Amino acid sequence: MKKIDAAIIGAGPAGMAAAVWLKEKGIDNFILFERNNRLGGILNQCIHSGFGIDYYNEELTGPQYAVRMQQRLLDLNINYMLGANVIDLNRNKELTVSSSKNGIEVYKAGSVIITTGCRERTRENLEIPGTRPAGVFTAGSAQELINILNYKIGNKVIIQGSGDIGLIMARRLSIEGYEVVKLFERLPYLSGLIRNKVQCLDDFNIPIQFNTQISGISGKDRVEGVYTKESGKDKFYKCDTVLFSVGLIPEVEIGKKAGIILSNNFNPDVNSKFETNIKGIFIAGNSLHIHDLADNASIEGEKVADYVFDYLDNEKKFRKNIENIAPYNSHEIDEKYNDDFFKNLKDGMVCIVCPKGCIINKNNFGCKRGEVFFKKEKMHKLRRLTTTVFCEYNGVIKRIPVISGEEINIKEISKIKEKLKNIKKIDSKSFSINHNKKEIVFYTV
Amino acid sequence: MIYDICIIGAGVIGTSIAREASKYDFKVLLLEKELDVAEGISKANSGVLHAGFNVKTGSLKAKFNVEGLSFFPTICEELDVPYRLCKKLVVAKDDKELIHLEKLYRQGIQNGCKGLSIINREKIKKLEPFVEGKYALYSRKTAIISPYEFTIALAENALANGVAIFLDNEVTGIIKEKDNNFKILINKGRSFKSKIVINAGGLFSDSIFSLVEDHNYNIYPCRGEYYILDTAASRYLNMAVYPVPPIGGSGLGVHLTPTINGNILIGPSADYINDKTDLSNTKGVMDILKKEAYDLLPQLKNIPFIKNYSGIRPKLFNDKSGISFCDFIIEESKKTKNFINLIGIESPGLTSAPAIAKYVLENIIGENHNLIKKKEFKIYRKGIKRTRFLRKNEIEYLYNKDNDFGEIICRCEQVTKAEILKAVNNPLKSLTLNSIKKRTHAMMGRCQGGFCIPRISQILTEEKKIQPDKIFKSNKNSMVYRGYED
Repeated sequence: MKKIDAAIIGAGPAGMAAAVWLKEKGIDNFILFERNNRLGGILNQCIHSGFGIDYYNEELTGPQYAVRMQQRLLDLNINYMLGANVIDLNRNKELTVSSSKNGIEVYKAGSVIITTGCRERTRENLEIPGTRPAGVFTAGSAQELINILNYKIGNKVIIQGSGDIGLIMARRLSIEGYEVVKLFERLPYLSGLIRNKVQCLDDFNIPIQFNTQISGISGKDRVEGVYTKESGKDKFYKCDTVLFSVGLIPEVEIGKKAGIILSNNFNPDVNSKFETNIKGIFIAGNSLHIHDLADNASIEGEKVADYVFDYLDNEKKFRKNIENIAPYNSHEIDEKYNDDFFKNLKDGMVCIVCPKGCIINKNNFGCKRGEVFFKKEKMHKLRRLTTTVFCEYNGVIKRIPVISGEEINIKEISKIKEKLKNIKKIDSKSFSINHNKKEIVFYTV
Repeated sequence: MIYDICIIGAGVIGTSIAREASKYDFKVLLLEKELDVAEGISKANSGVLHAGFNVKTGSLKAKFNVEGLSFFPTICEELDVPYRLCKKLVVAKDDKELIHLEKLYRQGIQNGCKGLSIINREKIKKLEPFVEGKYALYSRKTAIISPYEFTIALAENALANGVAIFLDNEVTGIIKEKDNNFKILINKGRSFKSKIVINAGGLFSDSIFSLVEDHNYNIYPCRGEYYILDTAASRYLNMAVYPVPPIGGSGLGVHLTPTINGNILIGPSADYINDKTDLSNTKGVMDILKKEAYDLLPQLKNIPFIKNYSGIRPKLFNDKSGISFCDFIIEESKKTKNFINLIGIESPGLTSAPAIAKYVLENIIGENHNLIKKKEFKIYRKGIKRTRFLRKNEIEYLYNKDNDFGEIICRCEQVTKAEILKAVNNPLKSLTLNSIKKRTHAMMGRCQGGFCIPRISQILTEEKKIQPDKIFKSNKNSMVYRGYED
């Protein structure tokens, strides 16, 4: 049994940040375990931008954010293990790790940080009646299938749930040429960020319908449509694919094996220093509670690394000033973005420059950047395009996430998308295509 | 080539007969219309091996149930299929229901069931602290298996013993030819010849029989809906727990059954429907299931759901009189010699299967044909090792032979790449996501495949050199990935 000071389970935004911080504080003998074959976790499939605004003071795509953290990890010479599943953890902080590289290994850790992220609520969790055909996906699965594996999942899609992943996928599918029929939200208001409603639904003329939940799925083999209940009546919508973006659940199965306590069956109980009921086992990121931004998960990872350092350094001191209250505020959805709100917008618009989502108009731009945005938006809808290119990259043919260097008129997206299809090979961090007698530069990571 | 025996339908009955027949010197053919075995009734039921007190004394159901149950420990060992003697309680809420328990008890004794007793509240609390009831019929012999794993094992063992198994081959016609052999027509335009035909068509056994002659048998589909609860529920329940069966009802009442995998099932309901393929779940029934389960075990209210599913019972009625036959039909057709029917094999069909198979061979076929035992019959079959249930040193041992035992693909059910690959390359050559699911339990856990379906799809495309649009969920029209058409 190998002895280590700390084990971090999961190399997503929280786990990687915790690893970097722990190392910076001077802890060397620890391992970051990652079950996938690359660092970054879910960031890798989130090819859209909107990451890093708080953490890096710069807007990045998910893969860019992951690579930046990964670089830091490499620079600091942090020990990490890929393809490594922690299959058991006990109260004594003994971890059993399974990997195709080393088989079964057991580690005894002085402390454990669980940063295993979350899983998506499924159609089954919502207990939606009807048949169980092919063509029902969770939004995150669909995202991985399309953005990483280069699969096509259908033609005509209905999305349930206005969480950020649902909104992002509505845009992603539209860019990829799918027909997104409609997006339903059970609540009377939006549950994702307002800027995502603007740039993911409005930009692509995808209607959102509040107060609606799919009440039945139809089709014996493949999805043929969905039912909803509207004003007491059954309504049928034809589609061949249904995406569910109906919430995330902290995934702490490994913590449960050690005996950590969860309140309300889902959220782990921690004290004010992020420690669970088992001394020395800590939790951060989405496996503790669902964060609205990856940046916040990273910030939390750092915070927890601080406490873990204290714990390892001097447990007596660490035990002082601990309270029994959760050290975070759960993310609350702003209930104001309902049908009335959008009807009353008229002259005003939602600023999408940052996640704040200010309502701006000709008398009030919110900020300097808002002013620039307002003036441009009045003329054309210009957006940086995030998509993928299927081509050879570093000798491997795969889907490469790319982002345009400049803003593109959204009307041009389908034409540019066609041109991107012709790219056979990318051999540097950027490349360009010729569009309307102009060079458009694209960046990978 | 002329087969001696052609079995139509690869459910638990068809595969049991196939395995039994492969012990003898026969050329055996097993035809199945779906892309895998156990895709009908045998896929979706409670998986309970009944003691035999619920069925009428003197019926075929009673005979085969009691006899069949006794075979299971041995067969499961031979076929490497997990079997658990979980035991069962039929719970009476009051003195009025006690009368029914006593009736069941007497019936059980008459049927030859062992290990039955009626117990009071104290004893119930001792056995199952969370179950509410005044009295219970306690059955020590009731067990559980995974019905589809059992069916797969039977089919694989039959295959190893020379049975020809053709999946995706739907029988569309049966002609008795002049030489007295049967010509069996298949949807793809091909045909087979056989001396004996065995109709184990399950829900469609009535239509299969119609291909040969007119008859009065009519299968009415009676749907049973289920909930599967998170494995966290298993801390509240060890045994199968049933209410007193509803009088005049079509089933045993909504019950709680542990599964081999450690989940708890709620169900099934019982509703006659019009369509034998309609496996929907319905809001009304789902609400009733929950209510009745919570009445039996209030603690379940806090347990999350994994998913819903439905199965269909093949209820057998007389087409003319509309009266239920109430019993299995297991006989050679009086008009068409060498055509053997198995119609209306509903509960306790799973428990009865081994005894039925033995009877079909020894008492029906053996009547007119010589039964010559094969010397080289392979009794044993090995299933896919499930690392989740192994100890560390056992996994290490496997890993040292195959590194894929270290790579976990399905995190919820802890299924390794080695297990997935073994399922992808299964001997029956069934290639759907469900066939991998039934063989490994991947995709059956909390995330319902959200994390592993992409990875399993990738393994499938790489291993079998197929495009994503050739990946199916269960049957031919259930393409998982669409949009490749244009």
